[in-house]
Amino acid sequence: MDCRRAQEEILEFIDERRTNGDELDAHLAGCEQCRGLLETQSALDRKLDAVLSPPALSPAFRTSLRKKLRREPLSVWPVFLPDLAHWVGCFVATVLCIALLPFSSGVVMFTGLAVTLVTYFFQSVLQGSLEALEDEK
Amino acid sequence: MDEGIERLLKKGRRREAFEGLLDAYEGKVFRMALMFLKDRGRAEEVTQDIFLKLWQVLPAYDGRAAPSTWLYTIARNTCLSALRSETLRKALPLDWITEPQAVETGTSGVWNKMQLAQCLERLPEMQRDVITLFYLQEKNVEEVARMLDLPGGTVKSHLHRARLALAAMIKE
Repeated sequence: MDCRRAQEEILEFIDERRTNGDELDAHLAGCEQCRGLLETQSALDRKLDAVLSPPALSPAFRTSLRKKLRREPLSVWPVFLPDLAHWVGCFVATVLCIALLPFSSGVVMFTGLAVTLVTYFFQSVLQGSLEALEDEK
Repeated sequence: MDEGIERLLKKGRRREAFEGLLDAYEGKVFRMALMFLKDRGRAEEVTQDIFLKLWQVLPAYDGRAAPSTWLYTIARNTCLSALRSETLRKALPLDWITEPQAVETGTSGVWNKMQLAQCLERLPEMQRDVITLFYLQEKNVEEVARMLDLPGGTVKSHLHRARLALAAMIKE
């Protein structure tokens, strides 16, 4: 085992608390540099463990959450509503354009543009309403 | 755990599923929020927001991802959104970490939490996030990977680089 491999093994060992393999032990016995790395990394691990200990939530967390939950009605606005408005608008525009095909291309293009704008308006309004509802929560 | 919650959701027992998720993940989500926001009070508020959002979207659960993966996605997005709105990340030091205590280094001298916090602050952002979350989440690489939506190997790689960089800083 070379030092590069030993270094990887040492870091893995620190991460997972696996016992050193025989191969690593043999390498450590003859390599002062890698022994030093193991010692330094073990000390750092203990230090990080001491300093970054997982904090706990305050006892009031659940009470406060439950109060907020009681005020939360289920969302009555499906989140797919803007998408639905978009597809309905596309469908209406397509049908209208087909129906208007016998007329001049100007009329067809104007109708397509008008329906697209109206659809875009409704989609924006719905999106805005949903976001406002989300913000209110 | 996730299978049980998934079963409850499929049966439409939303409240029980929610309670299960709350029991299993409130601490983890809180510590994740703490890593992002670096402020205990704000992290607790954001954790509440995350579970409120979860409650709202639970009926739309489609079973494509595990409920916890879903929860972590909501948590990550909510934390990032809170960060963007408050620009806390750069402004606040790691002041939530445990009280000052002398900790021995492997080499010489005595290190306290402020010195270690300063070293952590000097790490590249991803390395700092990974190593902080790793210790906050009881040293579970897979959990950290799911929280940050990164492959486990990438998390380990950041973790190892962070360890080596911190050791080098301590020796300086």
